[in-house]
Amino acid sequence: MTNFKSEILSQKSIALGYMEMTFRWPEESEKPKPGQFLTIKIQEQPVPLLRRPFALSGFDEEQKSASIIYQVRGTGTKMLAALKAGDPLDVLSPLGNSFSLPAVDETPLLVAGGIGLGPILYFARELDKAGHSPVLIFGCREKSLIPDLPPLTNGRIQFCTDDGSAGFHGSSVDYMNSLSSDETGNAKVYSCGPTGMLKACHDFALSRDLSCETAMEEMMACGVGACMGCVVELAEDQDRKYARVCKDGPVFQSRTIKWT
Amino acid sequence: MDLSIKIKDKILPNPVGVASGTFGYGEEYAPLTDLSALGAIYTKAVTVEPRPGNPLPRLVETPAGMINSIGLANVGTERFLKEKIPFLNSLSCPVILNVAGSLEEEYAEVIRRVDSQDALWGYEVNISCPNVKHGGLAFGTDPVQVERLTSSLKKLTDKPLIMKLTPNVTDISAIARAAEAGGADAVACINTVMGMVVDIHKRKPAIPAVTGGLSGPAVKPVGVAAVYRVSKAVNIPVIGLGGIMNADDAVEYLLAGASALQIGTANFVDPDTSGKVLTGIKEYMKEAGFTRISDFHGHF
Repeated sequence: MTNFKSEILSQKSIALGYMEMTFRWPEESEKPKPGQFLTIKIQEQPVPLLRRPFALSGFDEEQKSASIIYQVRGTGTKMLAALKAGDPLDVLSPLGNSFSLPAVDETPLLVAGGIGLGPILYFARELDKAGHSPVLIFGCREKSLIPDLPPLTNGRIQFCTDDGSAGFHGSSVDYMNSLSSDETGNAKVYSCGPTGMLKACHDFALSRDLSCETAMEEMMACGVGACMGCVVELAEDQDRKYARVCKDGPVFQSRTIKWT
Repeated sequence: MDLSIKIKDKILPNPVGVASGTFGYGEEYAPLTDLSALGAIYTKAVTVEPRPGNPLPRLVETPAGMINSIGLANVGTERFLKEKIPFLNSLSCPVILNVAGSLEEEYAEVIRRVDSQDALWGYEVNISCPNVKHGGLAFGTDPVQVERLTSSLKKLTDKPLIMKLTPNVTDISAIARAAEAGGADAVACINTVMGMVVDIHKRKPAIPAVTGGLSGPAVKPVGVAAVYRVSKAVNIPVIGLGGIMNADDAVEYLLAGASALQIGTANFVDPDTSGKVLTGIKEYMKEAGFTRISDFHGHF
């Protein structure tokens, strides 16, 4: 974990309201793993005050660059979207834990919704490169929200839209449920996205007796485990009531989380 | 240039410490700032028993600030001794244990159990906690309770005892005088300011605890005013905190009467704020021809 000054290499819109930003990663800084995140100090003025957390959506070791996918939603992300290639960027990373690798005979089912695409995409690409055959399932409302993504080599990408305007007609979880138990027999589920989707992934995994890892999101202040602000509630059989998303997570075994 | 500050019979090497609740027990920030250069680490609050903390969400951002409602989530005294003390022992900067409780006896019990630890330089007592025996009203809102709590804790230790004052009172100087009368070696002000955010879409408070503690640049003028009034009211050192983001903010506090400072919310924004603030204070002193911290005092 280091706090470094970076430089923006590119900013581009990848879907309606969604941006991908690439920036320089210092030679001496630890390589981030899929699931890990960073925080950005967007500007010097005190409004908005806090650093903004984003999951890494990619890392290029040769180019020494990393990327994030974000949705332009509030003041902070609007300011971020206004930054241009060449602008400086204050980055604190890599933070948190990462997804664990599937076993050789396991098929990774990687489920993403909204900005949850970032870490899932990064993980899918890494698994693809390592010879796994990941299935990346991305669900959204309609066609204009589908990002333009290069295909995977060994794995595949399945888009799902609520209105059926592209890909599978239904949610990502509807899609998973449409798979036969033979197709998911040796699957391992990974998820990142809205809480409802995460819970549905957890329920799906439970119903088919699969292991499921989920990357969580919570409002954060420090990002390094000090302030106890970004906790999630744990299931009753765990040895404590809360866990910090920034330090104990953001990736959790879904059965350890208390889903409400 | 002498940057040291004396509290009771002990010396803080420089005025810039890091505030309780924003810095864990130091370890989390070790890769990000030079801990040995800190004037002091004021630890995350420790209570006798572990506390899981409040339901979530615990944070909400506000204009130039944030509201927190962590609920004193901490590992309790036993695990603090086992898990946190070894790292704190390895630090060269002063470590000041922030102590909290719901009853006078709980504060006392924490101090009794940890007082033999050489790693601890002194105590900062969080009197913003609700007193269970007094209908949940914070200890720090009543001068009589503050004096009693201070004098009873004072008997338990030879280490410096700092009372951390809440700004959520009518007259903070009366509370500071009560702490001094009880034997406090210093006072720190201010703790967070009570605040609230309503989610207009859900039509309910943004955090389940309804109100929480506001911190950040938004509260700085409240903190500076408190330090000014308190430093006129007592003869013990005043430690200023509340919204210090840079050296200029720190100098304001020092000129208003603070002898030492704490960096809080700014640690979340720039983990090395304390280092930068200390450098800036030295530059200011050099330019002003100040040779010691007390040179900041008495200009108005």
